[in-house]
Amino acid sequence: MLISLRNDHKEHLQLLTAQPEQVVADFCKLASDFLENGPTAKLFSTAASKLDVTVDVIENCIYGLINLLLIACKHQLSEADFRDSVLTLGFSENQETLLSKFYDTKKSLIHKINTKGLTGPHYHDLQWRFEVQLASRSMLQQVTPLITMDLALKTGSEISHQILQTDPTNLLHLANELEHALNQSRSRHSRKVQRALGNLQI
Amino acid sequence: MDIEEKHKNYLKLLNKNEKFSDEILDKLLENCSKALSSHTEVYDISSLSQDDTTEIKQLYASLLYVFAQFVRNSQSSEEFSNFLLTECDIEKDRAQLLEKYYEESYNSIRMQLLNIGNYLPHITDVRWKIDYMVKSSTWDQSEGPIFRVSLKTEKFDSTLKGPKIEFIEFSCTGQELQDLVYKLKDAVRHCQKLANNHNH
Repeated sequence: MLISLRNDHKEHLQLLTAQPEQVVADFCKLASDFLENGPTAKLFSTAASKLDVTVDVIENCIYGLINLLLIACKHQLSEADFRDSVLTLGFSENQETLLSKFYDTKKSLIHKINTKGLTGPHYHDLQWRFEVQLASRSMLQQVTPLITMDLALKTGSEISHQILQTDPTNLLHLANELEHALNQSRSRHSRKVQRALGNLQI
Repeated sequence: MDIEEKHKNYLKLLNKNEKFSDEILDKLLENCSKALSSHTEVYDISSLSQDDTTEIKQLYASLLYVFAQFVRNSQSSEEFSNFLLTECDIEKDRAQLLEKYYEESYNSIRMQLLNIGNYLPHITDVRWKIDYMVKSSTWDQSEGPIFRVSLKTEKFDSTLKGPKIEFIEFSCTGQELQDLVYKLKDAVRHCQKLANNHNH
């Protein structure tokens, strides 16, 4: 498939189509630096003075390049589709080779960022220990079985710990219910719906 | 286990048959077992008698105290009645009445006492659903199944004076849920093994 860009996006990229390969390669490097370290005003102004344009133009061009990458990744463009899309934007074949290489090296990074998008707390780990409470201030002799758990949840890259406890009866209930959920996801109904949605081209 | 002299003295009021009729005593004992096992009192203590209710209150307070102390120390009803007969010189039929109430309310008072203390949030239930992600703003590819799990936890809240229910929500992939279920089953197996060893 070919991707279509907004007009202002195309305009921002126009700056590059007129530049020699070396400049395109430099911009790929700048964009890559931006992805890893965030914006660097100094690099932008150096580039601006070299090409004799304002810093804004350079900035827009870098953003445009990254946006192109994001859109390509979102639609999971194949190499051929990416090449065709770039050529339609007015890039020469040599420039396209550079951009394709750039796309290829950054694909997995962008994918990682994209899938991180909308996510709440995510299961990370569970540790448990079995305890027996032998005495407490209000009940001197007792044998109360308790299961204490450390549930580690991951939100983004932060891991939070929830310390919880339960009794054997509720533990059994919890394990059975979740196993039920797991089995349900493998049921004929679930697989049918998943297959249908998986084949859906939207 | 030591019971203070003052309580023993107040319990001796039980021998005052003319002041504490069987009817009043029954009500006192019922109140006592209800108060200790479910925080509710059936009767209003001060309305039990027309006269001065100081002695009734003293007796009631000591009854509450010894019931709680004996259950707290896991004492049998025989030990309880023994204490009443030998250390407080309570008449036999009165001691038997107290013993009867003690025996009947022992388990519920014990449950109540067991629940007092500092506990972590206690998991009492779980809700789950299975989602399948069709499309998102950043990702065209469909993905799934994703399990949304919500653990219901209860913890005593001092401002609410009761359990506070909270839900802990998280999601996991099939593989992660498998891992979670495996660990929980492992814990269940462990508990069952202990229980079986104990029975043999």
